[in-house]
Amino acid sequence: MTAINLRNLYLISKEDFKNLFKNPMWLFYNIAFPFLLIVVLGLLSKDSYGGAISAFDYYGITLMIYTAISSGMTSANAFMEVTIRKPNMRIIYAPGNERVIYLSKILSSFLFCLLCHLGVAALTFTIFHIRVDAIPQLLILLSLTELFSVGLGVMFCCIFKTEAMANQILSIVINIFAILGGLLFSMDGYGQVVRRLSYLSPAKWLANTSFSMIYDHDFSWFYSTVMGLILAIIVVFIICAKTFRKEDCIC
Amino acid sequence: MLAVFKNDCKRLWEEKMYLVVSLILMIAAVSAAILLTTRIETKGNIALVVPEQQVLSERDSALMANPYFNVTVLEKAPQTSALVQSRYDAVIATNSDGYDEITTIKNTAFKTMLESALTNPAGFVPDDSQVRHTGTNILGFMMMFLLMQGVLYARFFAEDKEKHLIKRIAVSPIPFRQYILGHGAFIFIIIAVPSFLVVGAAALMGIDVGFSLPVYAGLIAILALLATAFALFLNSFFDVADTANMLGSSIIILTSILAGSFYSLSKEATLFDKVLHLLPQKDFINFINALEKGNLSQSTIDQLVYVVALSVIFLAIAVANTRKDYVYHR
Repeated sequence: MTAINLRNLYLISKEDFKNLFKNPMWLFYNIAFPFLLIVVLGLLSKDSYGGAISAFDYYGITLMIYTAISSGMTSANAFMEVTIRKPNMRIIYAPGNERVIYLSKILSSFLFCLLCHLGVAALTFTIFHIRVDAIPQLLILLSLTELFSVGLGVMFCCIFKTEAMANQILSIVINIFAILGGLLFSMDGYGQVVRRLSYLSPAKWLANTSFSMIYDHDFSWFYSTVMGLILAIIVVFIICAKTFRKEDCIC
Repeated sequence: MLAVFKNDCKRLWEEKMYLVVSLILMIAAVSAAILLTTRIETKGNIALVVPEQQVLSERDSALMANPYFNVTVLEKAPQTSALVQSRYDAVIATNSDGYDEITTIKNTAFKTMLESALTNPAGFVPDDSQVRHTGTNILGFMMMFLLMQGVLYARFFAEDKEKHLIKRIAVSPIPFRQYILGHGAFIFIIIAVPSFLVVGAAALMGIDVGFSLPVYAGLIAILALLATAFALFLNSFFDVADTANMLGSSIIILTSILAGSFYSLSKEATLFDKVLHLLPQKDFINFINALEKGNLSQSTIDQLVYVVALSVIFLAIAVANTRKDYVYHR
């Protein structure tokens, strides 16, 4: 990456970033949807909790993880959206590295999702007095998870060349992980077998890491989770680089 | 109608990779639902804290023998994060005076129940009216995935609109009713057939799936009908596939959770619960729950009729809305 390419990346990402705000659907999906999820699930299961720890304390954290791993949907759709195909084609013909096409999508949707989700988190955590602790570590986890999932969304687009397929895979994989990891409802109480199965889902590791940091000040999971995420991000970026072909952007 | 259906099949056949991947995912989702739900144990998880030198008190051993609880004996109290994640519903520790001390983050009703189980282990019978059987659990888990698949498979209809192919349909002799129903038949079959085959395979392998296969065929057909109708209904309002797709999956996830497809969230007979009955998923779950427990009544049958009627209304709106958008009116 030379200086000129970095400048290109910055300029294109800026435009992509602006473009993300233009579609009301993406704002809905990244702000209103997670907010509604937290409110609905929290209020519905409020009664089964006692005083010290509320339903919001559980769902606030798990649903933020759910939102973070769903941000792949945003990046996949931002990459292959109808209105973005022609601008993408222009970039192929322009001088400079064509990799900026997908790198800028990853960068811009990462910033967009992170911004939206931090806003939602700040809002819900103050309204419902959700207990958080070890905020810097949680922020690191959140950003790495976001980066991984937006990268994953773009990766599926690069591999399968169509948005429909990326959507299909993402929506199923994300929801299987979420249910298995106990993000939508806790799986831990459902017996030994289910508990073991739930560790198949990366969402479970994230939830476990966050809860041990918040409630027990136990950071033993944190470093391995961060290492795992960084490794996963590197793999995603390598696959993107190997499978991205600029010919696919011609329309 | 048949022409549209055949055309959809050909379009799908052209994208074999897509076909294979989506079928694999569908099978994975349904198998995950069966795998998980057949292993769920709904017992209370209790952590019994017994330091090394201490012997189990009589009451504690009685609790351990209780079939309704899953008691784990620990030397140290579990961490709070395990309680938050519902690994344990309660922690029982014996304090210096010899009394049992219960720590739980659950509500007082649960604590009272546990106390009565401790003092009177023999006469304790938990309230299991909320507990669901296997069949209801499997279909509840499958429901969200099937509904989401509907929105995803409606992409040929969305593509027709996105690429303005639909304008050619408008001037062709095919009426919109048949055009939409053709797409509908395609979505219906591609959802219903693979998921039924997975359930059938599971049943043949000897896994207890709760209902008999013909009943499953009927129930999956109703779910697929709802999924198809909702997908076409949603797509008839938007010209861009992404919008319908993202809005659709958000609505489906939110309403499925609200309707309690995974586990029952709301209390019966509150106003909120009545409002929730507007969601077809809630009525469907209620119906299959009653069917599996063998206490069908007229009102539960009405709920099933409501689901089918709502699907038909969705389809009708989809047709009317598409016709309104693309047929020239003076």
